[in-house]
Amino acid sequence: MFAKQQQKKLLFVFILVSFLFLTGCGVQESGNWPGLETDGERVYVAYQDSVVALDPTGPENRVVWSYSSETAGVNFYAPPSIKDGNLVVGDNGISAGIFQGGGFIVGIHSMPLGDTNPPTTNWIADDVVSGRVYAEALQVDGKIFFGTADNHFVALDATDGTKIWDFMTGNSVWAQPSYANGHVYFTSLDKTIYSADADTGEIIWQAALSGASTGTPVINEEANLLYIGSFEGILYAFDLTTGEEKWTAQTDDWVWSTPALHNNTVYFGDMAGNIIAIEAEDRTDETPPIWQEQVPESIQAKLLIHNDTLFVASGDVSNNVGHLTAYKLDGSDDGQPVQLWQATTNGAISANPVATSSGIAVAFADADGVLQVVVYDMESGNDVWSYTPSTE
Amino acid sequence: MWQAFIDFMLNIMMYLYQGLGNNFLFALVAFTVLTRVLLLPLNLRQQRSTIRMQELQPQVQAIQKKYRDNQQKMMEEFQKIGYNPTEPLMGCLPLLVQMPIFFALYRVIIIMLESTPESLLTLKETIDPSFDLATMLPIDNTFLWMNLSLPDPYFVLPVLVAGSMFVSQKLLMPPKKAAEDSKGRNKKGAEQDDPAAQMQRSMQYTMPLMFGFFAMSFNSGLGIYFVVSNLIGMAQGFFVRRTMAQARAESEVRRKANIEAAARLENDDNNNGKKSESKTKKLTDSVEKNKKSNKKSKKKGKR
Repeated sequence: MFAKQQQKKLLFVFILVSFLFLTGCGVQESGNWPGLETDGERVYVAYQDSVVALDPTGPENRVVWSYSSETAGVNFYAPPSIKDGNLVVGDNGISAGIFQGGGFIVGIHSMPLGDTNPPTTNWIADDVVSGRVYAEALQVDGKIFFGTADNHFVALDATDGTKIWDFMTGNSVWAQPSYANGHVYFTSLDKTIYSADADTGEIIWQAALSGASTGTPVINEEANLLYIGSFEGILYAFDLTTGEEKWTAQTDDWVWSTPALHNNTVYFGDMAGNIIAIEAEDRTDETPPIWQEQVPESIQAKLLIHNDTLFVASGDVSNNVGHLTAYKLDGSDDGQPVQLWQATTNGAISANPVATSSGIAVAFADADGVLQVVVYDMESGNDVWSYTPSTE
Repeated sequence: MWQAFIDFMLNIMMYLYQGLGNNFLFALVAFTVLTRVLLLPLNLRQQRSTIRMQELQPQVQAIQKKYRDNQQKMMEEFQKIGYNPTEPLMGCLPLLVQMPIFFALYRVIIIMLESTPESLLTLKETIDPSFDLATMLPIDNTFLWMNLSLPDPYFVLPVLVAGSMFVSQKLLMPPKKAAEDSKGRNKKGAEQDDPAAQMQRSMQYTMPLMFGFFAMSFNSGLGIYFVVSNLIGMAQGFFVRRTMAQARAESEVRRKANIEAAARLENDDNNNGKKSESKTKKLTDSVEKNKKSNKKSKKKGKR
């Protein structure tokens, strides 16, 4: 019968449409920008399903090794941590599945920097955290410290990946921690900076920030100060020992990136593209900046100072454009920074740039989401080497 | 276009979040209510239509039986009683219309709550610049034991989604009496003859199961949207059933009153007719009597 057939068709279409929509909703998608690190020679980049070791000094586009998890669907976005011939990286996890209590199974991978392809892992700890890892881990004194997206800050034993201690903050931890004198310093999106005993995890002090923080605390041991930026557009200086707020410096937009300390000057950038230089010690909240400049887009990546040159990576995610700008710090006659060059990239640079013997390396994803690694000559800004997975 | 829709919804959610004391759950519930209010005319029309179509089932079955071999005549008869064979399945229309909203909301929840560095950048670049996002962050993604950006680990929400959807669909089904056919056969017997009713009833079970199953894998925020939406659907169902029952009762009272009035009128007419008949008879009788007496007196006078 006509009516019956029509009804059956409609029912089928309805169930099909519902199924497609609902299965689409079930997909756990959460990408991020690439993570980049170096040992001074090689470049290590984590992006999507692999961590790749690249040697810019070797033959063209030489991939030393490429590492992927044996578990399908595991992605890497956190910058790999390199220390003493060892690489440690946290992954983005896989959905734990509906019958495993939800959440994620996240692995921490430790491997030597050797030449075997793929590298033989020292260990993989996939039962210590259930939150995704976006930040670079810190390897110090036989321990590995890192934060997770599900609000944990964790210390692992570097030899076997077992958990030593775990501290829960009020929100996600997106930044690499810092270490000084047996204390580990870390921030969270919960608008707090913490100082913890590296051995026990006991909180030594904690201080409130006016906004969330995604930067790594920068330590000035000589001045016993710690610098950290926040989303309220404020850079704070805290007493390293007590956590007492010493002074602040205000800017126009979020301070997402990690500041840089050089010759008693702190350089920091904001999401409006401002770069500001202030005195590292003797100043008050009202003291004006020493120097201020602007780059074309917002700054998320850590400011890098290498060979008296400041490298500022910036990017506009919506328009897939980025810049790497180099300033000679004492370039002018009066000792003010002077721009050396500016390179344009076809993707926003949100990953921290790194200095290698070949030049300054940046990593970004282009408009199609394809990884690009480019090394620029420090003096001229010419790209001396580049890598994309498709050129292999 | 699709991205613009997501951005639009994201801004609405952000306004609700800011306006409701930076509470994501309140914002989510308010958003659900807002969506249901916007879809209210469609929902009410559809619910009324579904119930009405089901009430027509006895007549529909009679027509189907009578004109089994004459499709054209069957359709004509359907048209006469105001029955559209595809209309029962249109009950799914409000759910289909909501599909783009579900899907966009899923993306909005990811951007607002899952909070990857990249999604936070997207949020900052997408929302109206008048928002002071720095003070609004971090957006609290917890409710009871749940992280609203992740599936419920204890499956309470999927059960609630399925349960509330079942009840809300159940309210669209006709009362038992309405499902009985003209010959007084029971609901089951009537249904066997009617594929539309069969499908509707099977959907009453399959849809909640399907949504409940998927609720196990999509984020709890979306699950809460479904539960709140279904609760509002239930309230709407009650309202529609009540107003329709009331309208039906009123119409029944009016119909009875009309029948009684008609019957009274008929009785009155009848009574009036009998009276006039007897009067006429009396009149005729008296005329006849007068005629007879006149004849007698004439005869007496001649003598």
